[in-house]
Amino acid sequence: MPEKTYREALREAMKEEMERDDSVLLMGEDIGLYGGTQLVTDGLLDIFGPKRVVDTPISEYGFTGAAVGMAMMGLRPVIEMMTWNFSFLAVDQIINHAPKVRYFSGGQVEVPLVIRGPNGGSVQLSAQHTHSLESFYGHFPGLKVVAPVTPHDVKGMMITAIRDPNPVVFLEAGALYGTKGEVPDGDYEVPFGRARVVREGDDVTMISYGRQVNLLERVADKLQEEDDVKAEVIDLRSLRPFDEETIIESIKKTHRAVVVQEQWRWFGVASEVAAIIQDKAFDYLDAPVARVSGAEVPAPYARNLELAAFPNEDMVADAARQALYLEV
Amino acid sequence: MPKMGDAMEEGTLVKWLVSEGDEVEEGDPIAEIETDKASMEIEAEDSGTLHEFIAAEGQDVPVGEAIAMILGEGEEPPEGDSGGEPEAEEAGASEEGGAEAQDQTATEEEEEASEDEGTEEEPSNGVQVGEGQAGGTDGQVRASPIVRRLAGENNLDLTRIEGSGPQGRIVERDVRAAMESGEAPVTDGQVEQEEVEETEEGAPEEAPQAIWQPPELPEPTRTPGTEVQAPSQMQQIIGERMTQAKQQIPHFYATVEVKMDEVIALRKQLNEKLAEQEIKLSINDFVMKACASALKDFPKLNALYTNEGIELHESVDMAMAVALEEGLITPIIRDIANKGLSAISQQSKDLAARARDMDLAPDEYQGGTITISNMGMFGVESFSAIINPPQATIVAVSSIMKRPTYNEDDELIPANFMKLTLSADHRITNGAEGAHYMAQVKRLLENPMLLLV
Repeated sequence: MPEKTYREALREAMKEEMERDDSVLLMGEDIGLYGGTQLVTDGLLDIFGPKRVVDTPISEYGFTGAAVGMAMMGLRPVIEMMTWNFSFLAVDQIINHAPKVRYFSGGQVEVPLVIRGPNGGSVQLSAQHTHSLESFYGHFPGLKVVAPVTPHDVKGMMITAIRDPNPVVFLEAGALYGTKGEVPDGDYEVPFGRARVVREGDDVTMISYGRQVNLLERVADKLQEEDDVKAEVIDLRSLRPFDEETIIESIKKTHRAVVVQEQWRWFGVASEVAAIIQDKAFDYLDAPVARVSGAEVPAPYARNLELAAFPNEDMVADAARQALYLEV
Repeated sequence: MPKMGDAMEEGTLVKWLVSEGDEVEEGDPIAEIETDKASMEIEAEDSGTLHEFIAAEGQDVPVGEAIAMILGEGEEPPEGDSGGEPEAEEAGASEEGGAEAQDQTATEEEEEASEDEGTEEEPSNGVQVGEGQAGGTDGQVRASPIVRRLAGENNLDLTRIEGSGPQGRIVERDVRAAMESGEAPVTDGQVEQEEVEETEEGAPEEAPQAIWQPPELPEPTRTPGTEVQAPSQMQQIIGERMTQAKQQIPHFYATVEVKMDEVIALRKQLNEKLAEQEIKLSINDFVMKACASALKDFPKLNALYTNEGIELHESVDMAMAVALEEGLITPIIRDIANKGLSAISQQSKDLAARARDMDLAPDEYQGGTITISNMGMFGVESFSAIINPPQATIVAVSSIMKRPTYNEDDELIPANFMKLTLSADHRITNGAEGAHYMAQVKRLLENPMLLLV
């Protein structure tokens, strides 16, 4: 299977869907002539022209609203937030219009809209440009929220997102555009609402999504090496809809869970996962469900502080050891 | 509260030997405590000012709980210090002490403290910290959910397994080790009791099965045309309770045949009068009233079998079995002996209807003192019911059957008969008493005007 970067896989999904379906178009700031600040849409203007690859003014509220209207009228816009932090400017469109129209119209009007862009921390983008918005957008019925981490999944889930008749919040791993992985050529969908078991293990279940999944893989190696612990790693991929079954099955096997998120702990995805586990697998637990989250401060700029503010290998490994009642 | 012996779970703080505000040296005796085996003095584990007593004299304190707070020199009491609650703030303060912690807001401190909950065993300042949500010491065994599950499935006595988790929590590895070494002692019934209680509070469905089912059940035959169904949760609970009742309660039975023509006539007469009020008495209303009224002279049949003896109840709280698709439930008519037929009728209809809609509050179906089970509507000639523990008595009501009989002049006449079968707990009462009771029920039903006075 060919190796491609996360960026290439994403671009390939959009390009192939645009070739397949004339109603698919792209909009966003600097996505055409400049090719996108992350170069995700690089080259697509040359192929599809300015009617289908639209450079917009710096007005998130305006172009998101336009995209909602286009989607209501039958087009399938895929719009780029230069970073998800800028989506705050368009939040009324994203929360109050896109997911409500189908409901208000009794199902008569669909909004097949994809909003995509880099999410979460990267390298020293500081407080205003570092947010993980999955629990924020995941809160609202009517929105679908996904956060793929592998090049394989980002392509397959983008294809699924474009074909979905509902608004999809597509959270890309901002720090991982250059990472490589096996990506099939051509058309394939990765369905929403199904988690991925990244590796199997019997001793503790470690759960995350987005770029933290890579962290979990490193921690799993570390636990295997230092403690002879076999950790199961689960990538949620899709936060709404959510795959409870995979998690519960895993807990029934391992009896312990560590949930990791880059975002802050309060009201975060990890809290929801912990609640689901205690609800559905209480009798299988051997230890409280551990959560590892970002530090409760606006994201720091200084590199050393930034590193300390995000979950790291030691924090996650120690949480797993505590769940296993091992010496920390 | 230090652990003074392997079996010690709590100690009584008999007397404080110092006062709040006193300076204490490490090793000074500060309090006298008593366990079920011995009494002794506790020594201060650190020097400083005795800031506050957390346990009062005479109080039972679980092992590992804080009894007092000693502050080192220059140490401030933790913010939000709230006397009797030794947990979160202290953990935060003692663990996070130092410049960093002082910069934090109160909210952040609390949060970090709760992160520590259940994972820290001992803070550094020598004062033992109470457990957080992890434990919950109420004199019961501290064990994780999977441990309780394994104990139930394998008949283990958790009180005899040493816990290696925080505050002695029994965790999965402890149970596995005990099982492997063959040291896992078989329960003597305590765990069973605990599991039953949990079931009633809604534990997951698989849990109870292992306790009351025999260790080996036959495999399904899996022949064509068969289907294996899991019993509903309600059916599992019924199965468990009925198994327990049939295995543990020595039942005896007594059947009487009651001539019901008087009741039928009186019912017809009353219902004509009550039609305006839209009240329609049923035969069962008369039967329940008769069973309740008859209890007046037989208090032992209106009783519960408890661990302290036979608890006699003045009020008759009658549970009536209502069949549901998922199983059955027994809503209760309280103090039924002092209620009139129309009140009983209205209440029993309401309870039965809401039972079928699964709309009963727990206090409407828990805590009866006697049960009536009526299968009259199904054309049943007679049947015996299983006692509904811890009650002493259940009365099975069968159908009214019309058949020939002799009158006082030995002439053949048609009459309506119904069989009532008593099941009673032989630990509480005996056959003669049961027979007298049933005779009284029969007398009341054959002279139903007595039910109106």
